Amino acid sequence: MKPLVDVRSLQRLAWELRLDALQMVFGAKSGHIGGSFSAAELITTLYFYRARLDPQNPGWEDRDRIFVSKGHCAPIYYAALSRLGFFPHEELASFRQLGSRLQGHPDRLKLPGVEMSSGPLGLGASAAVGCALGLRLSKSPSRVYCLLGDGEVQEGIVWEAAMCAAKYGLGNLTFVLDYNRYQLSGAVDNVMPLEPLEQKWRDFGFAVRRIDGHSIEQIMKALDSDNLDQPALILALTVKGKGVTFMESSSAWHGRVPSQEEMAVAEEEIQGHLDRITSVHDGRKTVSASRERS
Amino acid sequence: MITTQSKQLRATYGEALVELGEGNSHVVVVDADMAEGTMTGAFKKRFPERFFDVGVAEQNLMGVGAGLSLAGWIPFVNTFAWLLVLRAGDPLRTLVSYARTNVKVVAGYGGFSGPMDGATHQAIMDLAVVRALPHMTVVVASDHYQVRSLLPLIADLEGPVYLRLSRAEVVDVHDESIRFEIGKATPLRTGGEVTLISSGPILGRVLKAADRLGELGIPASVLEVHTLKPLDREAILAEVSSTRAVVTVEEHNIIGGLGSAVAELLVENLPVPMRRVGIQDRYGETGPYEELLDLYGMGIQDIVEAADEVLRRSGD
Repeated sequence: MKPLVDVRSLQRLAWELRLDALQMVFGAKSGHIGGSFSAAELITTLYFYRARLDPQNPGWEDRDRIFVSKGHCAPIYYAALSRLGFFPHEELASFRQLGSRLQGHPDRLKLPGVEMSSGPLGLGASAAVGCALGLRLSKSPSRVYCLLGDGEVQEGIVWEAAMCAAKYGLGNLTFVLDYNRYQLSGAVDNVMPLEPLEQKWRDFGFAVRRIDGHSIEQIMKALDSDNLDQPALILALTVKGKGVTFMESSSAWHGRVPSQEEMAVAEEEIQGHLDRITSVHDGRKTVSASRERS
Repeated sequence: MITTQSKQLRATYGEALVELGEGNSHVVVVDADMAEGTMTGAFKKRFPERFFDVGVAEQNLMGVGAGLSLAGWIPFVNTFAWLLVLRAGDPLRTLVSYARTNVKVVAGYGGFSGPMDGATHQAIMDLAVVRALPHMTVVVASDHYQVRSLLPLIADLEGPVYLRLSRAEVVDVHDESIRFEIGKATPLRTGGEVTLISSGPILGRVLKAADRLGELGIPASVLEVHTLKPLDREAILAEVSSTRAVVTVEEHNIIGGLGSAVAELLVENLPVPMRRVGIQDRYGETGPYEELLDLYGMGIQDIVEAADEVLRRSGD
């Protein structure tokens, strides 16, 4: 698959994924918008720019492995997988419907492109470490990425996995932490403070890069910084519910479904972002939509 | 090779794991600071690059195993039984059972076999947990010959397996003419008037109980159900249809283990008088292994009396 390297195209794609995710949750009357929106640029850049994947051959041995440990961001995750070509885009409408491959939380046995079943928080970190160990033992060129939520890193298994990654010097492993500051019942700082989070990860042996998690350029740069013998953590500062003003920085929108009126406002706001990017994009004649990453 | 001298079952596992590693280059071993207890130390010494120690972190133990399987390896994940099913219960369910990864979960210290450490270190509920997890194959090993026989079969079986071992000292109860098959019960004595169904190292006691019953003029069949799941329904029903009296014997709580599995099968298909010999829904305690088994209702005499009782009821 050719990686998408054009920043504006990636920005646009992130907003399109948000729109997909919003419509999925609205259609299903169930699902998680807040943590999907905060992860939009992270997922977009990881999947469309950085990862080496082959949607026609999901089991390709040399693919990069992406563990979406915060499985509740399934809406935006599925939106990305469908736009990559792992399954038809129309199938997004079946999200959380009886008989659908698009389960409430990702099921690797049902949906192509899902590396590991997830949902119960923290587990993906551990599986990612095991996979990175295994790939290194196989002398595989593949890299392992794992998307974590911030509430998620309150789980003890994350730190068990972190210790293990450092012990084995897993330079082929990158954790991406979506630090949107809100979890189900409130602000992370109130529910169970994580700070000093950057220092914690450094002390656990990780190379830490703190970035704006909505900046495609910064995500690209962070993902491109390889480590030789040390696992990496990208601490991505994000906004929960990013893109729809009334959903932003609110634990209420962790798992809420918009009403008909709220839906109209939300769609309009996201469409506005899309239109702005498109108009700027059209003004720059030289930008190519996609080209091979050097 | 048959082991006639008393030896810990875990020691044979440690040896068999090295042999497996020599024959199958995809086998990797993960432990949680228990290599001295689970006997994976020999594998570590022989194949250091294929051995991973995650420290005292059983959740991560299970997750790392699942991840290794996704990378194409056949991980054997080892620690105490209760830790595997309780502490690591969610990763076991989600990453191994639900995700149907090719992880081999090897449980040391099954039943009372960690006797001196007390009730916290004894696994009386592990089989109830894993039996209720879809996709799992559940195997309970009884002797050295069986461990050596089953290990390569388990490695070759695609999908998650729970293998329950024991720290107990046992002698072989099988001879080398027996061929085991995962999912198939092994008839050890046939033609009885009562059927004794069992698995695990307690099988030695069951065979002695069958001898004693024979001396009392009550011939007993013995069926070894080493694969608790999938249960060999046909073999059990065929055997029980000829005796119509059953005693199950297990080193486990009578809730959720072998006795429950057999009872569930029989009550729907062939209701006959039945007794479950095992731990009667209570915790164990510190004490010598064999004495604990006697004290908690798994004595040879307990089996004999249960067989006698079901036989009387079946004659009514």
